[in-house]
Amino acid sequence: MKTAAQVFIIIGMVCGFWMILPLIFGGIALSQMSKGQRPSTGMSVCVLLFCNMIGGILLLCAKDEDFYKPNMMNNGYNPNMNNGYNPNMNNGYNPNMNNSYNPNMNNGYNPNMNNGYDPNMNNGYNPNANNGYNNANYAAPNNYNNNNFNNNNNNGVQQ
Amino acid sequence: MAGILNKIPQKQKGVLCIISSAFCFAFMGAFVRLAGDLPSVQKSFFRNLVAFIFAAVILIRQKGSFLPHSKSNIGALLIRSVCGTIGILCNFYAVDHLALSDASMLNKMSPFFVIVFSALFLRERTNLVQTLGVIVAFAGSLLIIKPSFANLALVPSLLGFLGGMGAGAAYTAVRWLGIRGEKGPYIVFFFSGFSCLVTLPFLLFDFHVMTWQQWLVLLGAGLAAAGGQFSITAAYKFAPAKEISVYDYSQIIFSALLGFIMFSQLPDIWSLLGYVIICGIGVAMFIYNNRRDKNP
Repeated sequence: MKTAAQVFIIIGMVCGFWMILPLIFGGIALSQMSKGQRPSTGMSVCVLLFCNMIGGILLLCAKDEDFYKPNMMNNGYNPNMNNGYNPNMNNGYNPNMNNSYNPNMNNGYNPNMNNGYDPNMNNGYNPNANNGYNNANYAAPNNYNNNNFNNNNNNGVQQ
Repeated sequence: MAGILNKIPQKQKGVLCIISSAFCFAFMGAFVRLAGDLPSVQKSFFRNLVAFIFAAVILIRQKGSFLPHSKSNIGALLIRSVCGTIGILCNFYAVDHLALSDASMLNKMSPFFVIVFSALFLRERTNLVQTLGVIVAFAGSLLIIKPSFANLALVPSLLGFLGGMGAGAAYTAVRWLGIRGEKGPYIVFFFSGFSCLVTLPFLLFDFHVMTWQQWLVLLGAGLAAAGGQFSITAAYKFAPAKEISVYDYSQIIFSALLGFIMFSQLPDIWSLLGYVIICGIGVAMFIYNNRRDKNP
């Protein structure tokens, strides 16, 4: 219905270009549609009256979904969306940064944080548990020198 | 087809209905003009006869009563019918003697008269913006009427304005009746019946013989009027008046187009300025009322 409306609007614009009004209203409606927006009711009525009657009626009759572009819909995967891993994101390691140890900096270990070990919790091995280590968000610093963090730390994973 | 119609949002349906009603009323005016040199009373009779038949059929189908909802409504029904009949007669006279769009525009003064009459008779309060809007719209109508002795069409213009006033008074009465529970089809039935009865003696004593083309055209006028009436009723059923009433001004564009195509009529620059002022005020008041309702 959207395509049919576009065709009729273009016909109206071509036939009535010398009156200017069809060009104005048709142009605005087409640009809104190309952006994936639905022209407002007032704009649709203006298209109906000043540009092309059939095009305007089709605009009014069309469903909201007709106007959205397919790639603008969330189909579960959207390359423009942050899917958890972004190579351009600061993943904790920046070669230009001072990577030396700073005791005031949070070096990944926070004693107040739940590091996976809770005496009241079931500390058995759970392969599905979040063990604090995430490939996406963690990159091992080259000269990492955090004494507070070691692999013997019980992160809930039997290593 | 029904599936497609069901998928259209209610407001859009209302807009489509009100535009089709404007289209039908514009065609009614064109048919009335096309009927030629017949008295306005005769044209009005046939226009109302078709509406009367349609309203009666609807009342029968809905198993509605042919009596008013309450006896106290009879006075208002008579006022609505008298004002409506005067409005139609004046409008038809204006359609015969003015440009089609001029006559339509003067008839579209009725919403402003509704504000005046509602304040006078229904004690509805008007604010400063509404009062200013009415004053500017009346000033705009003067550009169409062009009140000077040099204007040969002064009498038809004034009668067209009177037609708008009659329609405004009739709508005020309809509003009063609606508040008191009178049903729409019954109001149309009563008004059409009254109008036919009132014009019947004039028709009998001064009947102008019509050609079959004139019969056909007047039948078309009646059908267009009935179509317009039903479309506007459906429009206000789909969406509230405050959201769609402004699109009724599209009738001016249809009338101007039909006037140009069928009768080679072109409104002069003063009339065009008057259209812009009146339609502009109508649109501005529509936006103002909607904003006021959202942010009281």
